[in-house]
Amino acid sequence: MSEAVSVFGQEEIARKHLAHHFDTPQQQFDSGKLGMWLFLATEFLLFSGLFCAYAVYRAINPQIFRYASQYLDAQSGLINTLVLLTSGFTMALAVRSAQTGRKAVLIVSLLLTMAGGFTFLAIHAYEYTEKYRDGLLWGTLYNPKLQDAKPDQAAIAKPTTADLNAGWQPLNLMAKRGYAVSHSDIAPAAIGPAGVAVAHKPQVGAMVAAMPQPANVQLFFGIYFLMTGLHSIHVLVGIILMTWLLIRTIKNDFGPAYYAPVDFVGLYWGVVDMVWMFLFPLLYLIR
Amino acid sequence: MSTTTATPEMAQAVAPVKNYLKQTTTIRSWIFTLDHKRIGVMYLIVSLLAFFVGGMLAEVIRTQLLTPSGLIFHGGGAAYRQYNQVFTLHGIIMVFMVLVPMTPAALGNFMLPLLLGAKDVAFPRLNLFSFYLYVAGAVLAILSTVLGAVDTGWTFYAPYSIDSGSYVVLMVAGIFLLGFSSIFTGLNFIVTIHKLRPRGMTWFRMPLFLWATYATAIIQVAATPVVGVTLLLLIVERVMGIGIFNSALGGDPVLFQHFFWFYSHPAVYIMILPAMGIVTEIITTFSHKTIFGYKFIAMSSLAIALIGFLVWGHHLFVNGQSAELDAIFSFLTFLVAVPSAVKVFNWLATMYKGAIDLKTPMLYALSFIVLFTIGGFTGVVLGALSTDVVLHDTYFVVAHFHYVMFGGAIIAFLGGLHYWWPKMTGRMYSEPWAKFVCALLFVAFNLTFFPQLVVGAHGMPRRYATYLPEYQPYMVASTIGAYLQMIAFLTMAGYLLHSLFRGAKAPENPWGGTTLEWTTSSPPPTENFIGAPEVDVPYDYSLVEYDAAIGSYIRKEPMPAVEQTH
Amino acid sequence: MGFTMPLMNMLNVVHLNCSRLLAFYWLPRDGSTTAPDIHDMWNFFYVVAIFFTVLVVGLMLFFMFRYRMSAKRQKADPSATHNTALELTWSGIPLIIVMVMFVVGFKGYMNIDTPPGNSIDIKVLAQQWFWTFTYPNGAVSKTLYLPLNRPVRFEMTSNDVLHGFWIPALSVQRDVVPGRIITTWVDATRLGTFHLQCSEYCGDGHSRMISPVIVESYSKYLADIKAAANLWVGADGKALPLPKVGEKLYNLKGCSSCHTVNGAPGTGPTWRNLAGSQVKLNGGGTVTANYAYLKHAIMNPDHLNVQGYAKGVMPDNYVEQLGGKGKYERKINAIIAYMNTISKHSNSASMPPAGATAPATSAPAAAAPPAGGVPKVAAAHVAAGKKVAMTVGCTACHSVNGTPSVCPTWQNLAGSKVKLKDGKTVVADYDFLRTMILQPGKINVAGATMQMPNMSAALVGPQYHGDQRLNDLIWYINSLSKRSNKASQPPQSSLHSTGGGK
Repeated sequence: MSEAVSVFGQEEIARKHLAHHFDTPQQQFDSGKLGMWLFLATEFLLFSGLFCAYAVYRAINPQIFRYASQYLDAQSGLINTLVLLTSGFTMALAVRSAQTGRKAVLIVSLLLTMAGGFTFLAIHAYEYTEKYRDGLLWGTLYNPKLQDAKPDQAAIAKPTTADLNAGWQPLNLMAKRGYAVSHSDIAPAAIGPAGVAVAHKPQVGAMVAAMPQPANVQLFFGIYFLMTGLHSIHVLVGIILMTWLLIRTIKNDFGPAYYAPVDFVGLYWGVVDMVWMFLFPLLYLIR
Repeated sequence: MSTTTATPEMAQAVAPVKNYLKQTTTIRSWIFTLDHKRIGVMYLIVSLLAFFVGGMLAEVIRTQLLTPSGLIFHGGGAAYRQYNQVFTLHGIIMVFMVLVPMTPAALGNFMLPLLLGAKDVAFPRLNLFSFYLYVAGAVLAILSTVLGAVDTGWTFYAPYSIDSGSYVVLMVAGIFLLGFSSIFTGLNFIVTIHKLRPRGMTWFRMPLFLWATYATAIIQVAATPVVGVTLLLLIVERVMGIGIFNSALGGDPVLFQHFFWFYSHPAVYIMILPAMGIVTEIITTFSHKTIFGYKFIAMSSLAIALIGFLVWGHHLFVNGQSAELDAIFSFLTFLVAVPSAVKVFNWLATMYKGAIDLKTPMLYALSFIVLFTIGGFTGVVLGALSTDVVLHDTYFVVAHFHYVMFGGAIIAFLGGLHYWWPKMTGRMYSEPWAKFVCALLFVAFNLTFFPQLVVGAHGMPRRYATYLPEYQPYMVASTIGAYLQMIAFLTMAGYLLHSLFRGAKAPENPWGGTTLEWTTSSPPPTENFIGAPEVDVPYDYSLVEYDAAIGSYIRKEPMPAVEQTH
Repeated sequence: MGFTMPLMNMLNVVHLNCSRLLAFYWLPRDGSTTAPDIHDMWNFFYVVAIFFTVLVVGLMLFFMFRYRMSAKRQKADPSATHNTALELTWSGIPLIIVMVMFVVGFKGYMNIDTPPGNSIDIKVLAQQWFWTFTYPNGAVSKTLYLPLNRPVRFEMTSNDVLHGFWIPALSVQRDVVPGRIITTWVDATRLGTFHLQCSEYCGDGHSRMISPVIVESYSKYLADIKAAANLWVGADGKALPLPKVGEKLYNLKGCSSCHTVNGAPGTGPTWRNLAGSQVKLNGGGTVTANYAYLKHAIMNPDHLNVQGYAKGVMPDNYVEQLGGKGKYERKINAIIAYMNTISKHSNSASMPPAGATAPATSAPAAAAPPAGGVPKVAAAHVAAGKKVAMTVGCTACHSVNGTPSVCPTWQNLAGSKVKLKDGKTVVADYDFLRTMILQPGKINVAGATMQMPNMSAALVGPQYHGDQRLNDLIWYINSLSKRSNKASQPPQSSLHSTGGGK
């Protein structure tokens, strides 16, 4: 890096961007990088609250997550994963070309990254509209129109007794600690020996017949919308940052001597990618 | 002999360079300043204003509680709601707008680069931005109060905060901004300490206030995002009805408490750690003796910060948490008491055989030791599982955290304010008045909060607008103490304002401090130091000596071979 | 932790001899079997705290004066700047002490946390801003009666926000969390009247959410809860005069949380001197608070237009709360009779009609004997289910007496044949009822004009003991049907998990 300054004769650029309280451009760059890493740590912690809520509710109510996650479109999720991974690559390319001073490549790779971000958001918007159409929303808005939902047939698994019992975990814990706990051991209607549910099986879809809808399914969709929503906001912020980088690139601000902003946005985009790499399996794949 | 060495230095420091207050004087130059000192002063002004408002609300609370049925708000639900709004606002202002930013952001911003020997913090623009985030958060909070004050308590416990028909969203959004202001300040400090130490300033040569600030900054960066997402969830809960914390929709209100205290307990250490740092600086300076056990004090700050992250569950001992968790959190809570005790013993050992100058800052530091000891012990009994059952959510808790937060954090802040006042303003204050106020405050404080410890142990619950008549004598004593405190603070405001305009000019080093801020002029120039500061081992009091001619301590020529005491 | 034993023994002796009195200055006297453990912990803490506070402050004061700076003493004496052995000592001693404290505190807590097996169960319902206690015999009261020297276990839950169950005199505290059933217990060892204070902030009336706690002999306790079980009968077993019944209702139904009877202002108008008085209306004008007006006000609070009081504050379901059709009239009469006893404006027009004031002979608290084939043992479930139907809001659409309404009546529904949209007919058996309630979208009943809301969130889940709430409701629906049979009733296994008692 320090060689780069002398070799390309870009000392002037480096000096121009050097704030008064730093001694060397290297010190400034290192400070910026440490600050960025710390900021990204706080970003992870921001999401950690939601991951924690996910873990807690999944532990208490596995049946909700098991039931509701089949309504997520794993195919769209997979496409989104690939899109984000590709954009991660183009972002890395952008950082590299800023370091080596290839302006054209930098512009193209920034544009490609932005395109990736937009594609991701578009696919997400499509998923959200689907959920809205099916009434698979959070809290009081949850009003499933099950006939319209298209569950993934292959993924349907018959619930075992263990699954059903798992739903009573808090009560089991209480029982273990000596509290008298009363709970019903009646099998839910849909897997019972006889009943209306079986007669209406074709009408409501095989999935529902195979797995009765547990209480409080809206909780899963609440968590789904919160996590993906907060993540999408971060994608949007990334796109805005890249627009800013693009303008500065066109103004010839970056070169081998000064490319810190590109580097930092690259780190940020990496974290956005990484959070999605956790969200995708947790929400879409694990049943 | 010593005057001859001092005069050219002084002449060089004062004559050609204007200090940071005089460099530019337009309002614009303050509003858009990137100078950490000016930003620190602006933080100081806003947080002192907030402290005034919060204090007045406290007086309203105490007046209400003079009689069992309430002196101001009485008669029924709507009146009690107003009382609830008053104590909620008192809590929110004092915690989020006074305690969290006051010492780290106001004194920290001003002093950190000076003690470190740097020209500024690492990111001056971010620094200014976090100040304006702080102001924006405060404005939102005021807005919410004007539109319809919040009555949820500063803890915003769900589901009441979901149901309450007040402007909770605005208030919570304001606190969200205050939180991010705190994160950016912490981030700035960590990077500054890591990257901007001048040549010679090794980690173990840093003044201990910096160690404390560094530990604080770690908590700010690592804990605040969690309260950020918690408050975000609360907003989403109210606006969209997402149901994460709402038992009516399958959520769990206790999860909110876990999230909230995961931040808010470490936040207690955001308040107390820099306070301990200040006390450390004051005690060594006014004992004119090297601090005892430098490394233990430095490491105990880090230990408090780290263990402090793992104790939040002690706020939930009676909230339906499992006994296993209760035991773990109780154990860790006891552990965190140890490093605090270590600090107290080290301070005492520093005083041992010192030359103790009982100036105002030292009096505050000694008050801190007494009050913090009481606060710490009452914390220990709350951390014990069986006694917590009968003390939880009573006035005992209220008194305990006032002993720690007010008797600890605020008293130490006042000590720091008096200690660095000459450096910040270039003026001296009236020593007799300051000593009188310090003594009055100490008495008034104990009169206010000691009766609360007793009445809490008797069983009086907190956040009561009215109470059983048997508690009245304690409540009356407490209120008298609160009025005396008000008198003390108003007197303090008087002599400090007098000092600002009429006070004697402050010398470079009025107390005989050995850290770097005392080697530059009072007030310092915008660039902090003329030339690179010379960094040596801190707390070597053989290097300074009093010069009666200029009424200041001066630095002796560094000896070629400094005889170190080991 | 063998090495801590001598220390603990020593401290035990110290606290037994000298700190008992001091401790009682702080904590209330022992009032329950768990209190001595708490006192032990407190005393231990107290001795340690006093010792170290005196040590620290004493040393500080000594140094302050001994090493004070003066004209003669300008410089510190040379002394060490660090001493690792010393540091380790004063880290180690506090560490050992706090660890001992932890163990003592934890042991006491485990006793508090583990309820004994042979306890009396009292259900506690907290809501803004009053407590309701339900005893094993089904009695409901606003006063907590506790028998002396008998372990009592509380099963607590909240209807709205967090509350705190806190009886200082008995050293028992636990937060009450909505959506959870929280248990705690107490074995009172001290006779007397104490206070249960809400300790977790819950809104406007938080500081008034105080209930009396009466610790009394077991026989007196039994008499009290027997009296409380019957609205119409006093503690002596004789029928109560109507105003006394009204006073009971005033306390039981939550009237007292908004209306005072001593003239003090409250959320609602005071009842002092209300009956027979002139009530000021919004926009001027007055109305006389006669019997008809008061009755109408209780039944239709939304029609009220009283100056200074907002609409929509008073619950509008008092007809249901007072037992529903056929039951509420007499109770309203009782309440109005009570209002008259505390009003100086009382006159014949404000009194209930003459016939109503006669003492009641009997009034069974539970529902009429279950109809159809519902077994007697299910009576408690039927009653519980009826409550569920009202609280959840089923009865807003479904009538229970055959009256046609937006939705099918529940009379004679269970076990009957139901026509579906596609022309098929199914029997309304247990599974049908269950599916209808939990997944209403799945079944299309012929002639239905509106979609029933999904009730699962309000009926099943851990917070309702699994299916119990749902099964109670289905028991209730069965009790309304003469076609009820084994297939339409919940399984027998649901019977042992009763809501009302053993």
